[in-house]
Amino acid sequence: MMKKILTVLVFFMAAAAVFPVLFLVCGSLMGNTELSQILLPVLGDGEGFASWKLMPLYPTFSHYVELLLDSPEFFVMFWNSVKITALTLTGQMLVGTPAAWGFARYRFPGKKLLFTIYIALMMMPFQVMMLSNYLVLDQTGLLDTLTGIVLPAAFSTFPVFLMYRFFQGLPEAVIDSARIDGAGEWKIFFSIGIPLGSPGMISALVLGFLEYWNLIEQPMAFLKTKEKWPLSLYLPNIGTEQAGRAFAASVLALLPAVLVFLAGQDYLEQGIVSTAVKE
Amino acid sequence: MKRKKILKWFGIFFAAMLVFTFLSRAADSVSVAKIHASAPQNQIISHIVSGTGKIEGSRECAVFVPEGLKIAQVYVKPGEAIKREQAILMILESSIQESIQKKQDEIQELSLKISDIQSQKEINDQKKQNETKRAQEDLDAAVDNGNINISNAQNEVNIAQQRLNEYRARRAAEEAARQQELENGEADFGDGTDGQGNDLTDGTQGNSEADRQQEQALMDDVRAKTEALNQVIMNRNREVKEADRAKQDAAIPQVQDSTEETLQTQLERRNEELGELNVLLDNKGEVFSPLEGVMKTVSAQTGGQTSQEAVAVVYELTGELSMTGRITREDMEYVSVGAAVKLEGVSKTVVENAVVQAVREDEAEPGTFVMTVAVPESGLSVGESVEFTVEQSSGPYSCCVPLTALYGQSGQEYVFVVDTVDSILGEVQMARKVSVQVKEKNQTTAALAEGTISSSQKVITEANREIQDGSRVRLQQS
Repeated sequence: MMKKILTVLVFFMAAAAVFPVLFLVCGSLMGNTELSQILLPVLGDGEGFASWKLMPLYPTFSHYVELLLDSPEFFVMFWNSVKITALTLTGQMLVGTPAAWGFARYRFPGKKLLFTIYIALMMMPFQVMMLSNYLVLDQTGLLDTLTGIVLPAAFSTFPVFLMYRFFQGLPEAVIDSARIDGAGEWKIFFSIGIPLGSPGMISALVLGFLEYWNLIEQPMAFLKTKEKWPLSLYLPNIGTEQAGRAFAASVLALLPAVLVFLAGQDYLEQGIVSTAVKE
Repeated sequence: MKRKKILKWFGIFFAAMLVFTFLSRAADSVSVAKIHASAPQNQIISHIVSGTGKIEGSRECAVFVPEGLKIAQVYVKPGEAIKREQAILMILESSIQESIQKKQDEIQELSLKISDIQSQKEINDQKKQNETKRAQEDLDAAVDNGNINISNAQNEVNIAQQRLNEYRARRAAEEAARQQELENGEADFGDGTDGQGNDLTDGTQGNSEADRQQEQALMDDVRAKTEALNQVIMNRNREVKEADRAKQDAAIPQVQDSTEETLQTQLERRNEELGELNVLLDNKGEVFSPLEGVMKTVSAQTGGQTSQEAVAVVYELTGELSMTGRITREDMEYVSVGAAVKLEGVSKTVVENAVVQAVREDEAEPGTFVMTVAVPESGLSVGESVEFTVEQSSGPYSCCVPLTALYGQSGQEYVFVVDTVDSILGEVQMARKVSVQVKEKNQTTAALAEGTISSSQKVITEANREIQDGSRVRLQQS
């Protein structure tokens, strides 16, 4: 009985969590007139509260057509997001993987201090680092460039921490065996470390994708040129008359994240678990 | 397997997004207005009034044909060159013959009328002459008779006077004789004079009464004769005066009557017309051009009838030339008498120094004006079509834009300037509406008031679709 009650409770909680997504999909299929009637108290001068319904009165794909065929701005921002995310994740893999391997497999003076700084930096929210980041980017001439967004993110400490956990979990005996067999450090890293630590890397990639695909604060702070804005800044630029297009854009922006999540769901769980395990 | 499927969908999603990126760009490039833009120029505004006109001769010759004839065929059109003795039109022969017959009848009728009038006039003249002659005779008779009567009366008076004089002379003689006797008796009887005298006196008094009566009778006779003379004179004068008046009346000329002259003129005219008709008949009804030139107007129509007006007007090839063209009321602002006109004929002859002679409104078509231009000696010929151009310049103006850049109604004009805006698509051009004040404009260019547009701004002069304030535009390289 208790199990049933819990099941029902969980079901309702899950439904509540999924409800915004249903809103988005439903809103993207509504006509402008219907949307105006429903959202008038929010978007216009209407009184009362906005209402919602899960089934459009007259479903239409016009907003998708309009967005896909008549909104080149959407695609500019989409590909900006792709660029930022891809470059950032690539950078993180190139920089973070060796760093995590180093922390996990080697002993060197000041390792603990350095790792503590890494953890401390990871804990700091963006708002704390924003000013210093801004000053550095300004001095290096990277302000208002995609590099200014990508470069700090590529050196993010979170994927290092995440992969560190995975690399640390590799059996020491395997590494020693490789050394006995005559494998060098690079050989051990590329042939044993990366293949065996790939779940951690994928986990870092999935989490990183979800984070950088929805990046909003850094572009707002560091990018003045609209041409370089990512998709996360598209919605604030849509007027109230284009609510339908905003819903459609949200659904399309959601799709890659959903696909990445589904593809890396297992690794993501492992990553989350690994970060939760006490060292 | 499941992950591979998801990654496949991931790939498909990005591929689709790539395709839609190109499609949206293509759709955007089609929907964005392509424009040409240029900066305001410093230039002169020239107003050009142009149109098509025709060269006309100043000397014209009208061709007349007797009225009321039926036109069988018209050979020429306005503007057509024509040679001397070339047929203009042909009259129906039967119509000419009919008209000739009619003219002959009229001539005969007029002749008879004239003859009647002449006969009547001769009789009247004779009567007048007789009347005058008789009046003169009456006057002469009155004068002669009057003179005779006066002479007779005068004789009567003279006779009576003579009798009176004779009587008085006899009395005077008798008185003198008696006085002599008395003087002689006094000498004989001295003292008895008074007594005798008294006796004589008494005896004389008896005779004197008779004498006085006789003398009075004679005097009355003289007076009566004199009165008779006066009466005769008065009668004579009255009769003479009446006769003279009758003569004067008879001398008054007759009332002027021009009927005969009028009829004579009509007769002459009919004869002339008859002559013309005979000539026309001899020419088998064809009417020829009297000179070489160009047909100005041809009022005759095949199947119609000739009227009092000329059937055609021919321009002579000699003499000064003029050009007439039509302009609108709007063009009138830039065309004035004395303005220079450039003419270019179909023969490619160009005349630069033609001058506007007159401009008047076409009564048949209000709002349209007929411009007459004096054409100097040139290769242009009568009847030739020409393109005329009247140019009037003003300025220079520092802010001139092509007229295609100007929108809106008069007084509320505006232009679109190109602004470069930082957008998601990068730096894009947008049209911005700027209200302007037009100082002057012609068919191609408008001069704007200074200050509204800077020289560095580009004004949209041409767009392949309608643009509005804020419309995105794509600048095309000229």
